[in-house]
Parts: sequence; structure tokens; C-alpha cells
Amino acid sequence: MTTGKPTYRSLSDEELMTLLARRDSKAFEELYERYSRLMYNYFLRMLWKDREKARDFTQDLFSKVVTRPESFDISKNFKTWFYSIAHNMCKNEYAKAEVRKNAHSELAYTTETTEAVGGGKQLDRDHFNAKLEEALNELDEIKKTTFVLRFRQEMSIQEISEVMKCSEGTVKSRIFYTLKQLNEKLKVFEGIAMWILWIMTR
Amino acid sequence: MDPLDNDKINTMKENLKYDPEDLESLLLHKNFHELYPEEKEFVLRHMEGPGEYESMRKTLLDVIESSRNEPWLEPDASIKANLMKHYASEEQRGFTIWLNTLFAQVAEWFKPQPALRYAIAGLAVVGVVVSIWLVSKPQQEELLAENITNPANQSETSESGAGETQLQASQSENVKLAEEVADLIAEAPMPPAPVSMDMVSENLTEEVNEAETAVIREPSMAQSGQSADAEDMPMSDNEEKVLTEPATVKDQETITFSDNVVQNSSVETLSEIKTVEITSKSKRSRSVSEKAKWSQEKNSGAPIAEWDELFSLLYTAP
Repeated sequence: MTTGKPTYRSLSDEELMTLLARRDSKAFEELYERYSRLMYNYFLRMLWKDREKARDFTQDLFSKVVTRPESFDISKNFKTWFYSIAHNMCKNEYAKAEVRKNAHSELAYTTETTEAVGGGKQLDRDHFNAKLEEALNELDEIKKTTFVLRFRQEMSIQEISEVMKCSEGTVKSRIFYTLKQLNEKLKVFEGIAMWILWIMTR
Repeated sequence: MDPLDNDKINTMKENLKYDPEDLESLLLHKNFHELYPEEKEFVLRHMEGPGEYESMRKTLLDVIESSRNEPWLEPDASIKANLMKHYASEEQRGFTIWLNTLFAQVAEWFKPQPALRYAIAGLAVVGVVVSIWLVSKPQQEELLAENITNPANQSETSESGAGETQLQASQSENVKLAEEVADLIAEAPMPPAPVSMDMVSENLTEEVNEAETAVIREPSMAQSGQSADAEDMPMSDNEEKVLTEPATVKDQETITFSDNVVQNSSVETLSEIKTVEITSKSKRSRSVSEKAKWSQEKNSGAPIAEWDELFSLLYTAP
């Protein structure tokens, strides 16, 4: 006897969206299984590690899909369409929270550094992650999005260009300059990290 | 140097134009000292020197490693629960919207066409009536079949009104019989209707005088040739009148009026009359069961209303 689940797993995202437009609840469940974790972590990284916000945004994002599945063009790629909705949500949130941005990054930095308690290499990595997070939060929204999509969500240049509605060359350029900016910020951290390691080894 | 080689070199130089994505690729895969001269040239166009290249390379590798090692957090289960609730409500709402849209479209379609609207409304009413009739028809047939198979119910059904259909059936049967009678009567020389009793009596008298014989008897006795009145109403021989027509009519014809003919013709006063047979065997004879009564009434000069009704029935029934 064949169960429904493996059949839905073998379907593409676009086929699932077609089924969802016909009010197939299992198609929705399958899409949720595939993307809920990705989107939650994307929002988490984009929204200053704020779990409440990430949860609300994830729920809102899937609600949009449930409410208007017919707005998806089947000839397009579902993943990039889905991420572009998420990207627009984040953009709006950035615009709203422009004033509070620094406060959030402070909070995130404090949280991360508090959690990062360990020794040796782990401590070094945790400190690096915290510094990287801080450096990312200091980036403008476009560069941060490009960086997260490229290095956290592991999307291709073409996919990023579709999500951000720009050319591939622009995406490449943004990645390079983001790396350059991060490198400058993290150079300071390198010095601090070396000093911490020297203190601990004494 | 061959000019062709120069062209090749120029083409190679064009192909070796790097963009920032290629820088990312170079940073990922090669140290500065591993780069080709053309690649070094390209890198140095965007960076200050080998130090910055190595530093950026280290940052990129750290970032990638950090991303890979960073744990992926699972979203709360409450998100899925809320979404499934939302999905269920949306499904219900979607159905309602679909219905509203459907009816709105239908209404919009009918709006500019009032004639069509009325026509369809009329058709709907006719449809309802026909469907009700179709539903009730099998019940009537069933009741009728039950009445036919069970004669005991006939009196009940006639009272209840359902027997009307049975009555109609018997009426149609009687109409057929009446038509046969009418055909036979049309063939026979009959007096024009309406016929008064005086005329009938005169004709009968004439026929008697012409040696025609009319035998009036009960149906049960018709075949045996006996006169019913001989038993029912004993009378003297000279009171019996036999009317015989000339042998110009058909050889033999027998027409029997059943009880139904009389009843359905609403001749209630003649309910006593069981049968009127008109027999012709090389002659045509008429037998009426009330012959004796008629004779008595005729002789006494009393009105013979029932006879009048009988003949009017006979000549006007078809």
C-alpha cells in the first residue's frame, strides 16, 4: 500500500504549488516541511537573531502563500519567488526599524557573547561568529541580504539576482564589496582574538 | 612574431577579463602565489596587494566555515499548528468566495435579459410540477393495481377517490362497447332520435302487424330462447308481442349492454334493466326485459318514462 507522503516528496515545488492552488492541504504540509526551517533561519539572521520576530515572519510568509497561492506563476522558480517575498518583508522591517537598528544589534551581540562560553578553539569560533554577526548588522540591508543569501542560504548568483531583482553582475559586485567590508571589520577582531588567546594560554 | 599570434593573444586577454565573482572563486581556491600572472594582474586591480588578498581569503573561508558550523534552528511547532488552522479557515473562506462569485456571475448574466430570466423561472416552475406529477404517478398506478387485484378494495377506493382512475378505465372500456353498439345501430334501420314513446309504440305495433317479432328476455335466457318475462312477469299469451323484422339485416348479431353501460350513462332509473339484446338470425329481434311492464303501461295508458330513457340512451349514447 502506498502512502501519500512519498508521492508528495517526489513532486517539485512548482507542482506542489499547483496542488496548493487546488486546496490540497498535503501539498501545503510538504512545502512547509521543505522551507520552514530555511525561512525561519533566514529571518533569524536577517532580523538580528530575534526569535519572536523570526517566528512571526515565518508564519506571515506561509500565510501569504496559503491566502493567495494563485499569485505564483508556475513558469517561475518557486524558491526564488518565495525568497523574494521574504526579502521584501525584511526590507519593510528594516525601513520600519531603522531607528531601532543599533539597539537590536547591541542586544544580539550581548546575547551571543553571553551564550558563547567555552574554551580554546570553540571560544575563538564563537567570538568570531559574534563579531561576524555584529559586522553583518552594521552592513546596509542590501549587502547583508546578499551575504546571507550567498553564504548562509547557499544560493547561486543567478538565484540571488532573481530574488533581489538585479543583474548577476550587480550581485557579484555586492558580494565582493561586502567581503571587503567584513574583512576590514574582522581585522580588528583578529587582533582582539589573538590578545584573548594569549591571555588564556598564559 | 606572426600577426596571427598577436590576434590569439588579444583574444586570450579578452577572455581573461575577470569580474568580482571570479575574484570570489579565486579567493576560495587559490593562494596569491598560486595565481597566474593574468589573474594576479586582475586581483591587484581590485586590491591593494597580496596581503589584502590573503586576508580576504582567510575571512571568506572563516565565514563559510562559520556558516557551515552554525546550527540550524527549528521553528516552533506552534507555527505549523497556527498555519494549519489558518489554512482550514482559508479553505472555508475560499469556498464561500467561490460560491459568491458564481452567483454574482449568474446574476450579472441574467441582469440585462429579463425575458430570459422570466422564461427560466417559468421553466423551473414547470419542472417542479412535472417532477411532482412523476413522483405521484407510480403511487396511483400502484394503488390501481392493488384495487384491480383485490376487488374487495374497490368499494373503498371508489369512496376514497382513488377509485376515480378505475372508473375512468371502465368508462373507456364502455366507450369502446358503446362505439361498437353505435356502429351496429348505424347499420340497422333505426328511428331518428329523440324518439317519443308514442312513436315507438306505433312502430312496434306496425312491426307486429308486419309479422316482425321482438323478443324481450333476460340475458341468461337469451341463448336458450326463453322469454325472461315469462318468469319474472307472467302474462297471457296474447299480451306477448313478437316483432320480427324482414330478413334484410345481417345474419346474426348480438349486442349486450353490461351493467357498466347503464351505470356510466347515468341512467340510474334503469338499473333494473340487466340486458338489452338485439338478435338477428335471418331476422332482427329486439328483446327488452321490461317488455311486460311496458305492455302493461301501454295498455293502461300510463307514461313509460323508463322506456323513453332507454331508447334515448340507445340512440344517443355514441
